[in-house]
Amino acid sequence: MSFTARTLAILHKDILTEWRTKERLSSMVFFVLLVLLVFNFSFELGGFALHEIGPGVLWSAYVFASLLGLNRTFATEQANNCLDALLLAPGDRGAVYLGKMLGNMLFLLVIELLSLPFFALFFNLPVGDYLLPLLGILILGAASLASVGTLFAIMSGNAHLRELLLPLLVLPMVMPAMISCVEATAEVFKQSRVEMLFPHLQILGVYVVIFTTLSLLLFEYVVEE
Amino acid sequence: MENLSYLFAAYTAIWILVFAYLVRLQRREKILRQELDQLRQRLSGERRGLDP
Amino acid sequence: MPAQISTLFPALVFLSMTAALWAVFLYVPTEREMGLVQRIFYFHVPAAIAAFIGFFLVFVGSIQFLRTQQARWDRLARCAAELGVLFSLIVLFTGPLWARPIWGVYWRWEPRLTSMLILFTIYVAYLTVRSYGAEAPQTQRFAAVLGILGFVNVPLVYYSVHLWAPEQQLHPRQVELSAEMQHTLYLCFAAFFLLFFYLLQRRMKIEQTSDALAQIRLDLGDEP
Repeated sequence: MSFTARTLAILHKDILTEWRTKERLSSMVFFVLLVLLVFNFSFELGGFALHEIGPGVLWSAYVFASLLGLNRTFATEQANNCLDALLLAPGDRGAVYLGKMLGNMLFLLVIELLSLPFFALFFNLPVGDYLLPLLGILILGAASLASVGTLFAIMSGNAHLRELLLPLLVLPMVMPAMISCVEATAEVFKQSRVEMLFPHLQILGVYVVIFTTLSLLLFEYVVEE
Repeated sequence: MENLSYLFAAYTAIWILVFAYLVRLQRREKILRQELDQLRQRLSGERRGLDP
Repeated sequence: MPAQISTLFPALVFLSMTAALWAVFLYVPTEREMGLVQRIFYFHVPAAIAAFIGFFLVFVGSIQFLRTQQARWDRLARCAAELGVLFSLIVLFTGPLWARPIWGVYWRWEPRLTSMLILFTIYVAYLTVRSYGAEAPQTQRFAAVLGILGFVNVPLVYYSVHLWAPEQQLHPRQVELSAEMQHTLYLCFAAFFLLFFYLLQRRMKIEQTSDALAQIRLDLGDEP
Protein backbone atom coordinates (compact mmCIF):
# COMPACT_ATOMS: atom_id res chain seq x y z
CA MET A 1 0.00 0.00 0.00
CA SER A 2 1.37 3.40 -0.81
CA PHE A 3 2.03 6.04 1.80
CA THR A 4 -0.93 8.11 0.72
CA ALA A 5 -3.21 5.12 0.64
CA ARG A 6 -2.29 4.13 4.16
CA THR A 7 -2.67 7.65 5.45
CA LEU A 8 -6.11 7.92 3.94
CA ALA A 9 -7.06 4.50 5.23
CA ILE A 10 -6.30 5.52 8.81
CA LEU A 11 -8.07 8.83 8.30
CA HIS A 12 -11.08 7.08 6.88
CA LYS A 13 -11.20 4.66 9.80
CA ASP A 14 -11.07 7.43 12.36
CA ILE A 15 -13.74 9.48 10.62
CA LEU A 16 -16.02 6.46 10.43
CA THR A 17 -15.45 5.56 14.07
CA GLU A 18 -16.19 9.06 15.22
CA TRP A 19 -19.15 9.46 12.93
CA ARG A 20 -20.83 6.36 14.27
CA THR A 21 -20.66 7.31 17.91
CA LYS A 22 -20.20 11.09 17.81
CA GLU A 23 -19.28 10.80 21.47
CA ARG A 24 -16.14 12.89 21.35
CA LEU A 25 -17.76 15.42 19.08
CA SER A 26 -20.73 16.28 21.22
CA SER A 27 -18.78 16.33 24.48
CA MET A 28 -16.14 18.61 23.08
CA VAL A 29 -18.59 21.07 21.57
CA PHE A 30 -20.33 21.15 24.90
CA PHE A 31 -17.00 21.70 26.60
CA VAL A 32 -16.27 24.70 24.39
CA LEU A 33 -19.66 26.08 25.30
CA LEU A 34 -18.90 25.67 29.00
CA VAL A 35 -15.53 27.36 28.70
CA LEU A 36 -17.15 30.28 26.88
CA LEU A 37 -19.63 30.50 29.75
CA VAL A 38 -16.89 30.55 32.34
CA PHE A 39 -15.08 33.31 30.51
CA ASN A 40 -18.27 35.29 30.25
CA PHE A 41 -18.69 35.23 33.99
CA SER A 42 -15.07 36.21 34.47
CA PHE A 43 -15.49 39.46 32.61
CA GLU A 44 -18.02 42.18 33.22
CA LEU A 45 -20.02 41.97 30.08
CA GLY A 46 -20.83 45.66 29.84
CA GLY A 47 -17.34 46.86 30.61
CA PHE A 48 -14.99 45.41 28.04
CA ALA A 49 -15.20 45.88 24.33
CA LEU A 50 -16.22 42.34 23.57
CA HIS A 51 -14.57 42.29 20.20
CA GLU A 52 -11.28 42.98 21.96
CA ILE A 53 -11.30 39.99 24.25
CA GLY A 54 -13.49 37.83 22.02
CA PRO A 55 -10.73 36.30 19.91
CA GLY A 56 -8.65 35.45 22.95
CA VAL A 57 -11.57 33.81 24.68
CA LEU A 58 -12.52 31.88 21.58
CA TRP A 59 -9.08 30.43 21.00
CA SER A 60 -8.57 29.67 24.68
CA ALA A 61 -11.75 27.64 24.57
CA TYR A 62 -10.57 25.85 21.42
CA VAL A 63 -7.17 25.07 22.90
CA PHE A 64 -8.59 23.62 26.10
CA ALA A 65 -11.11 21.54 24.20
CA SER A 66 -8.44 20.28 21.83
CA LEU A 67 -6.32 19.11 24.76
CA LEU A 68 -9.20 16.92 25.85
CA GLY A 69 -9.69 15.58 22.37
CA LEU A 70 -6.02 14.97 21.68
CA ASN A 71 -5.72 12.81 24.74
CA ARG A 72 -8.00 10.36 23.03
CA THR A 73 -6.09 10.25 19.77
CA PHE A 74 -4.66 6.83 20.28
CA ALA A 75 -7.15 5.62 22.84
CA THR A 76 -8.92 3.26 20.46
CA GLU A 77 -5.60 1.87 19.29
CA GLN A 78 -4.28 1.25 22.76
CA ALA A 79 -6.99 -1.22 23.54
CA ASN A 80 -6.09 -4.63 22.14
CA ASN A 81 -2.63 -3.44 21.13
CA CYS A 82 -3.91 -2.22 17.80
CA LEU A 83 -1.18 0.40 17.75
CA ASP A 84 1.52 -2.26 17.57
CA ALA A 85 -0.34 -3.92 14.75
CA LEU A 86 -0.57 -0.65 12.87
CA LEU A 87 3.10 -0.01 13.35
CA LEU A 88 4.07 -3.46 12.22
CA ALA A 89 2.44 -2.89 8.86
CA PRO A 90 5.12 -2.68 6.18
CA GLY A 91 6.25 0.65 4.87
CA ASP A 92 6.78 4.09 6.24
CA ARG A 93 5.19 4.37 9.66
CA GLY A 94 4.83 8.09 9.21
CA ALA A 95 1.54 7.30 7.52
CA VAL A 96 0.14 6.45 10.95
CA TYR A 97 1.11 9.87 12.23
CA LEU A 98 -0.19 11.72 9.20
CA GLY A 99 -3.45 9.83 9.14
CA LYS A 100 -4.02 10.53 12.82
CA MET A 101 -2.94 14.14 12.44
CA LEU A 102 -5.34 14.79 9.59
CA GLY A 103 -8.07 13.09 11.56
CA ASN A 104 -7.42 15.32 14.55
CA MET A 105 -7.28 18.38 12.36
CA LEU A 106 -10.58 17.62 10.70
CA PHE A 107 -12.10 16.82 14.04
CA LEU A 108 -10.90 20.07 15.61
CA LEU A 109 -12.15 22.01 12.61
CA VAL A 110 -15.61 20.55 13.00
CA ILE A 111 -15.61 21.40 16.70
CA GLU A 112 -14.51 24.94 15.92
CA LEU A 113 -17.26 25.41 13.35
CA LEU A 114 -19.97 23.92 15.53
CA SER A 115 -19.03 26.13 18.49
CA LEU A 116 -18.91 29.30 16.45
CA PRO A 117 -22.66 30.01 16.73
CA PHE A 118 -22.45 29.92 20.52
CA PHE A 119 -19.57 32.32 20.42
CA ALA A 120 -21.49 34.65 18.12
CA LEU A 121 -24.43 34.47 20.47
CA PHE A 122 -22.56 35.23 23.70
CA PHE A 123 -20.33 37.89 22.29
CA ASN A 124 -22.82 39.53 19.97
CA LEU A 125 -20.41 39.29 17.13
CA PRO A 126 -21.83 38.87 13.64
CA VAL A 127 -19.56 35.99 12.91
CA GLY A 128 -21.47 35.09 9.78
CA ASP A 129 -20.16 38.15 7.99
CA TYR A 130 -16.59 37.04 8.42
CA LEU A 131 -16.99 33.38 7.76
CA LEU A 132 -14.63 33.14 4.83
CA PRO A 133 -11.50 34.70 6.33
CA LEU A 134 -12.33 33.06 9.64
CA LEU A 135 -12.41 29.68 7.94
CA GLY A 136 -8.83 30.07 6.83
CA ILE A 137 -7.72 30.90 10.36
CA LEU A 138 -9.74 28.04 11.80
CA ILE A 139 -8.18 25.56 9.40
CA LEU A 140 -4.65 26.72 10.12
CA GLY A 141 -5.32 26.79 13.84
CA ALA A 142 -6.69 23.28 13.81
CA ALA A 143 -3.72 22.10 11.76
CA SER A 144 -1.19 23.65 14.13
CA LEU A 145 -2.84 22.12 17.19
CA ALA A 146 -3.09 18.75 15.48
CA SER A 147 0.50 18.75 14.25
CA VAL A 148 2.24 18.79 17.62
CA GLY A 149 -0.74 17.53 19.58
CA THR A 150 -0.83 14.20 17.76
CA LEU A 151 2.87 13.62 18.28
CA PHE A 152 2.72 14.54 21.94
CA ALA A 153 -0.40 12.46 22.42
CA ILE A 154 1.48 9.34 21.53
CA MET A 155 4.43 10.45 23.62
CA SER A 156 2.35 10.92 26.73
CA GLY A 157 0.16 7.96 25.84
CA ASN A 158 1.35 5.47 28.40
CA ALA A 159 2.85 7.94 30.80
CA HIS A 160 1.93 7.90 34.43
CA LEU A 161 0.47 11.38 34.47
CA ARG A 162 -0.78 11.33 30.90
CA GLU A 163 -3.60 13.86 31.32
CA LEU A 164 -1.28 16.36 32.93
CA LEU A 165 1.68 15.74 30.67
CA LEU A 166 -0.07 16.42 27.39
CA PRO A 167 -1.12 20.01 28.21
CA LEU A 168 2.29 20.65 29.72
CA LEU A 169 3.91 19.66 26.45
CA VAL A 170 1.42 21.10 23.99
CA LEU A 171 0.69 24.53 25.47
CA PRO A 172 4.19 25.99 25.41
CA MET A 173 4.98 24.53 22.02
CA VAL A 174 1.80 25.80 20.40
CA MET A 175 1.95 29.37 21.67
CA PRO A 176 3.29 31.08 18.54
CA ALA A 177 0.46 29.53 16.55
CA MET A 178 -2.17 30.48 19.11
CA ILE A 179 -0.92 34.03 19.39
CA SER A 180 -1.15 34.34 15.62
CA CYS A 181 -4.64 32.83 15.56
CA VAL A 182 -5.88 35.27 18.16
CA GLU A 183 -4.30 38.24 16.41
CA ALA A 184 -5.62 37.22 13.02
CA THR A 185 -9.11 36.67 14.41
CA ALA A 186 -8.95 40.08 16.07
CA GLU A 187 -8.04 41.68 12.78
CA VAL A 188 -10.98 39.98 11.11
CA PHE A 189 -13.42 41.29 13.71
CA LYS A 190 -11.94 44.75 13.44
CA GLN A 191 -12.65 44.54 9.71
CA SER A 192 -9.08 45.48 8.93
CA ARG A 193 -7.65 45.35 5.44
CA VAL A 194 -6.68 41.90 4.27
CA GLU A 195 -2.96 42.75 4.29
CA MET A 196 -3.12 43.05 8.08
CA LEU A 197 -3.89 39.36 8.25
CA PHE A 198 -0.91 38.28 6.18
CA PRO A 199 1.89 38.33 8.78
CA HIS A 200 -0.17 36.21 11.15
CA LEU A 201 -1.25 33.77 8.47
CA GLN A 202 2.36 33.57 7.39
CA ILE A 203 3.47 32.49 10.84
CA LEU A 204 0.64 29.99 11.02
CA GLY A 205 1.52 28.57 7.63
CA VAL A 206 5.19 28.27 8.49
CA TYR A 207 4.32 26.72 11.85
CA VAL A 208 2.06 24.09 10.31
CA VAL A 209 4.55 23.16 7.60
CA ILE A 210 7.57 23.00 9.90
CA PHE A 211 5.95 21.17 12.75
CA THR A 212 4.02 18.68 10.64
CA THR A 213 7.16 17.84 8.69
CA LEU A 214 9.29 17.55 11.82
CA SER A 215 6.68 15.45 13.60
CA LEU A 216 6.47 13.19 10.57
CA LEU A 217 10.24 12.72 10.55
CA LEU A 218 10.54 12.28 14.30
CA PHE A 219 7.57 9.94 14.61
CA GLU A 220 9.81 6.97 13.88
CA TYR A 221 11.90 7.72 16.94
CA VAL A 222 8.88 8.14 19.14
CA VAL A 223 7.35 4.76 18.36
CA GLU A 224 10.60 2.83 18.25
CA GLU A 225 10.68 -0.04 20.67
CA MET B 1 18.24 55.99 46.83
CA GLU B 2 15.38 53.64 46.04
CA ASN B 3 16.87 52.40 42.78
CA LEU B 4 19.76 51.01 44.73
CA SER B 5 17.53 48.50 46.46
CA TYR B 6 16.34 47.14 43.08
CA LEU B 7 19.91 46.88 41.90
CA PHE B 8 20.80 45.07 45.08
CA ALA B 9 17.79 42.78 44.76
CA ALA B 10 18.69 41.86 41.19
CA TYR B 11 22.27 40.94 41.95
CA THR B 12 21.23 39.11 45.08
CA ALA B 13 18.74 37.12 43.00
CA ILE B 14 21.47 36.12 40.55
CA TRP B 15 23.73 35.14 43.39
CA ILE B 16 21.04 33.08 45.13
CA LEU B 17 20.08 31.24 41.93
CA VAL B 18 23.66 30.37 41.00
CA PHE B 19 24.57 29.47 44.56
CA ALA B 20 21.52 27.26 44.99
CA TYR B 21 22.45 25.42 41.80
CA LEU B 22 26.03 24.96 42.98
CA VAL B 23 24.81 23.58 46.29
CA ARG B 24 22.60 21.15 44.38
CA LEU B 25 25.58 20.03 42.31
CA GLN B 26 27.66 19.56 45.42
CA ARG B 27 25.01 17.44 47.09
CA ARG B 28 24.80 15.14 44.08
CA GLU B 29 28.56 14.88 43.90
CA LYS B 30 28.60 13.89 47.57
CA ILE B 31 25.99 11.18 47.01
CA LEU B 32 27.99 9.83 44.09
CA ARG B 33 31.18 9.77 46.14
CA GLN B 34 29.40 7.79 48.85
CA GLU B 35 28.12 5.35 46.26
CA LEU B 36 31.61 4.99 44.89
CA ASP B 37 32.99 4.27 48.36
CA GLN B 38 30.27 1.72 48.98
CA LEU B 39 31.11 -0.09 45.79
CA ARG B 40 34.81 -0.01 46.57
CA GLN B 41 34.15 -1.59 49.96
CA ARG B 42 32.01 -4.25 48.42
CA LEU B 43 34.61 -5.11 45.85
CA SER B 44 37.44 -5.31 48.40
CA GLY B 45 35.17 -7.32 50.67
CA GLU B 46 34.48 -9.78 47.88
CA ARG B 47 38.13 -9.98 47.01
CA ARG B 48 38.95 -10.85 50.61
CA GLY B 49 36.18 -13.37 50.52
CA LEU B 50 37.73 -15.08 47.48
CA ASP B 51 41.17 -15.51 49.09
CA PRO B 52 40.50 -17.31 52.31
CA MET C 1 41.07 15.87 34.11
CA PRO C 2 44.52 16.84 35.43
CA ALA C 3 44.40 18.37 38.87
CA GLN C 4 45.87 21.69 37.78
CA ILE C 5 43.19 22.29 35.19
CA SER C 6 40.39 21.23 37.47
CA THR C 7 41.33 23.88 39.98
CA LEU C 8 42.27 26.36 37.29
CA PHE C 9 38.82 26.49 35.78
CA PRO C 10 36.86 27.46 38.92
CA ALA C 11 39.61 29.92 39.78
CA LEU C 12 39.24 31.47 36.36
CA VAL C 13 35.48 31.68 36.77
CA PHE C 14 35.85 33.30 40.16
CA LEU C 15 38.38 35.81 38.88
CA SER C 16 36.37 36.75 35.84
CA MET C 17 33.24 37.19 37.92
CA THR C 18 35.08 39.38 40.39
CA ALA C 19 36.45 41.44 37.53
CA ALA C 20 32.98 41.70 36.04
CA LEU C 21 31.50 42.84 39.33
CA TRP C 22 34.25 45.41 39.71
CA ALA C 23 33.56 46.71 36.23
CA VAL C 24 29.81 46.85 36.77
CA PHE C 25 29.89 48.57 40.14
CA LEU C 26 33.10 50.56 40.19
CA TYR C 27 34.42 51.05 36.68
CA VAL C 28 31.51 51.91 34.45
CA PRO C 29 29.90 55.31 34.98
CA THR C 30 26.25 55.59 35.86
CA GLU C 31 23.98 55.85 32.89
CA ARG C 32 22.22 59.16 32.51
CA GLU C 33 18.64 58.19 31.82
CA MET C 34 18.00 55.20 34.02
CA GLY C 35 20.50 55.79 36.77
CA LEU C 36 21.88 53.12 39.03
CA VAL C 37 19.37 50.43 38.12
CA GLN C 38 20.67 50.30 34.57
CA ARG C 39 23.64 48.35 35.86
CA ILE C 40 21.46 45.27 35.92
CA PHE C 41 21.76 45.33 32.14
CA TYR C 42 25.32 44.07 32.28
CA PHE C 43 24.28 40.77 33.79
CA HIS C 44 20.78 40.57 32.34
CA VAL C 45 21.90 40.45 28.71
CA PRO C 46 24.75 37.91 29.05
CA ALA C 47 22.40 35.69 31.04
CA ALA C 48 19.97 35.73 28.13
CA ILE C 49 22.71 34.81 25.68
CA ALA C 50 23.89 32.05 28.00
CA ALA C 51 20.35 30.68 28.17
CA PHE C 52 20.27 30.58 24.37
CA ILE C 53 23.56 28.78 24.21
CA GLY C 54 22.04 26.26 26.58
CA PHE C 55 18.98 25.76 24.40
CA PHE C 56 21.13 25.45 21.31
CA LEU C 57 23.22 22.77 22.98
CA VAL C 58 20.02 20.91 23.84
CA PHE C 59 19.14 21.06 20.16
CA VAL C 60 22.52 19.76 19.04
CA GLY C 61 22.60 17.08 21.71
CA SER C 62 19.11 15.91 20.81
CA ILE C 63 19.81 15.65 17.10
CA GLN C 64 23.09 13.86 17.64
CA PHE C 65 21.54 11.49 20.14
CA LEU C 66 18.83 10.45 17.71
CA ARG C 67 21.41 10.00 14.99
CA THR C 68 24.12 8.17 16.90
CA GLN C 69 22.31 6.75 19.95
CA GLN C 70 25.37 7.62 22.01
CA ALA C 71 24.73 8.35 25.66
CA ARG C 72 27.02 11.35 25.83
CA TRP C 73 24.82 13.38 23.51
CA ASP C 74 21.81 12.69 25.65
CA ARG C 75 23.83 13.76 28.69
CA LEU C 76 24.74 17.00 26.95
CA ALA C 77 21.11 17.72 26.16
CA ARG C 78 19.96 16.99 29.68
CA CYS C 79 22.62 19.14 31.36
CA ALA C 80 22.38 22.00 28.89
CA ALA C 81 18.61 22.12 29.42
CA GLU C 82 19.09 22.57 33.16
CA LEU C 83 21.51 25.39 32.58
CA GLY C 84 19.25 26.99 30.00
CA VAL C 85 16.45 26.99 32.55
CA LEU C 86 18.74 28.37 35.25
CA PHE C 87 19.93 31.26 33.12
CA SER C 88 16.40 31.96 31.88
CA LEU C 89 15.39 32.27 35.51
CA ILE C 90 18.13 34.83 35.98
CA VAL C 91 16.76 36.79 33.03
CA LEU C 92 13.17 36.51 34.27
CA PHE C 93 14.15 37.68 37.75
CA THR C 94 16.44 40.54 36.79
CA GLY C 95 14.14 41.77 34.04
CA PRO C 96 11.22 42.71 36.30
CA LEU C 97 13.55 44.09 38.96
CA TRP C 98 15.00 46.38 36.34
CA ALA C 99 11.58 47.15 34.95
CA ARG C 100 9.91 48.21 38.17
CA PRO C 101 11.82 51.44 38.80
CA ILE C 102 12.02 52.27 35.07
CA TRP C 103 8.65 51.36 33.59
CA GLY C 104 6.70 51.52 36.83
CA VAL C 105 5.52 47.92 36.78
CA TYR C 106 7.17 44.59 37.43
CA TRP C 107 5.79 42.98 34.33
CA ARG C 108 4.73 44.19 30.95
CA TRP C 109 3.74 41.89 28.15
CA GLU C 110 6.48 43.12 25.94
CA PRO C 111 8.16 40.98 23.27
CA ARG C 112 11.49 39.89 24.66
CA LEU C 113 10.46 39.13 28.20
CA THR C 114 7.35 37.30 27.00
CA SER C 115 9.37 35.26 24.52
CA MET C 116 11.84 34.32 27.23
CA LEU C 117 8.98 33.23 29.43
CA ILE C 118 7.54 31.00 26.69
CA LEU C 119 10.93 29.44 26.03
CA PHE C 120 11.32 28.91 29.75
CA THR C 121 8.08 26.93 29.82
CA ILE C 122 9.16 24.84 26.84
CA TYR C 123 12.33 23.75 28.54
CA VAL C 124 10.67 23.22 31.88
CA ALA C 125 8.38 20.85 29.98
CA TYR C 126 11.52 19.17 28.65
CA LEU C 127 12.88 18.67 32.15
CA THR C 128 9.48 17.44 33.32
CA VAL C 129 9.39 14.77 30.64
CA ARG C 130 12.83 13.62 31.72
CA SER C 131 11.95 13.43 35.38
CA TYR C 132 8.56 11.78 34.93
CA GLY C 133 9.82 9.22 32.48
CA ALA C 134 11.53 6.05 33.59
CA GLU C 135 15.27 5.68 33.09
CA ALA C 136 14.52 4.21 29.72
CA PRO C 137 15.81 4.82 26.21
CA GLN C 138 12.26 5.75 25.31
CA THR C 139 12.32 8.71 27.70
CA GLN C 140 15.59 9.83 26.18
CA ARG C 141 14.13 9.67 22.70
CA PHE C 142 11.01 11.59 23.72
CA ALA C 143 13.16 14.25 25.34
CA ALA C 144 15.32 14.46 22.23
CA VAL C 145 12.25 15.04 20.07
CA LEU C 146 11.16 17.78 22.46
CA GLY C 147 14.62 19.29 22.40
CA ILE C 148 14.51 19.55 18.63
CA LEU C 149 10.97 20.90 18.38
CA GLY C 150 11.59 23.37 21.17
CA PHE C 151 14.56 25.00 19.56
CA VAL C 152 12.96 25.13 16.12
CA ASN C 153 10.16 27.01 17.82
CA VAL C 154 12.46 29.79 19.05
CA PRO C 155 12.33 32.03 15.97
CA LEU C 156 8.60 31.42 15.65
CA VAL C 157 8.04 32.42 19.26
CA TYR C 158 10.01 35.60 18.82
CA TYR C 159 8.37 36.56 15.57
CA SER C 160 4.83 35.91 16.74
CA VAL C 161 5.28 37.74 20.05
CA HIS C 162 6.83 40.72 18.27
CA LEU C 163 3.84 40.89 15.95
CA TRP C 164 1.54 40.64 18.93
CA ALA C 165 2.91 43.53 20.92
CA PRO C 166 4.88 45.87 18.69
CA GLU C 167 3.68 48.98 20.45
CA GLN C 168 4.95 47.62 23.74
CA GLN C 169 8.54 47.73 22.60
CA LEU C 170 9.84 48.79 25.97
CA HIS C 171 13.22 47.18 25.53
CA PRO C 172 15.43 49.84 24.01
CA ARG C 173 15.96 48.99 20.37
CA GLN C 174 19.18 50.73 19.53
CA VAL C 175 21.40 51.05 22.48
CA GLU C 176 24.22 53.54 22.34
CA LEU C 177 27.01 52.29 24.49
CA SER C 178 30.02 54.32 25.52
CA ALA C 179 33.44 52.72 25.44
CA GLU C 180 33.42 51.90 29.16
CA MET C 181 29.97 50.36 28.85
CA GLN C 182 31.12 48.19 25.96
CA HIS C 183 34.17 47.03 27.90
CA THR C 184 32.02 46.18 30.87
CA LEU C 185 29.52 44.32 28.75
CA TYR C 186 32.20 42.23 27.02
CA LEU C 187 33.79 41.45 30.34
CA CYS C 188 30.44 40.29 31.66
CA PHE C 189 29.87 38.16 28.56
CA ALA C 190 33.22 36.50 29.16
CA ALA C 191 32.47 35.95 32.83
CA PHE C 192 29.06 34.44 32.09
CA PHE C 193 30.33 32.16 29.36
CA LEU C 194 33.03 30.87 31.68
CA LEU C 195 30.44 30.34 34.38
CA PHE C 196 28.14 28.56 31.95
CA PHE C 197 30.77 26.14 30.71
CA TYR C 198 32.11 25.55 34.20
CA LEU C 199 28.65 24.60 35.44
CA LEU C 200 28.06 22.52 32.32
CA GLN C 201 31.30 20.64 32.76
CA ARG C 202 30.61 19.96 36.41
CA ARG C 203 27.06 18.86 35.71
CA MET C 204 28.18 16.60 32.88
CA LYS C 205 30.75 14.99 35.15
CA ILE C 206 28.01 14.16 37.61
CA GLU C 207 25.92 12.51 34.91
CA GLN C 208 28.90 10.61 33.53
CA THR C 209 29.83 9.30 36.95
CA SER C 210 26.24 8.46 37.76
CA ASP C 211 25.79 6.53 34.52
CA ALA C 212 29.08 4.70 35.02
CA LEU C 213 28.14 3.73 38.56
CA ALA C 214 24.78 2.50 37.38
CA GLN C 215 26.53 0.36 34.79
CA ILE C 216 28.88 -1.06 37.42
CA ARG C 217 25.95 -1.93 39.64
CA LEU C 218 24.33 -3.64 36.72
CA ASP C 219 27.50 -5.63 36.05
CA LEU C 220 27.68 -6.67 39.67
CA GLY C 221 24.19 -8.05 39.38
CA ASP C 222 22.37 -5.45 41.43
CA GLU C 223 18.84 -4.38 40.80
CA PRO C 224 18.93 -1.21 38.67
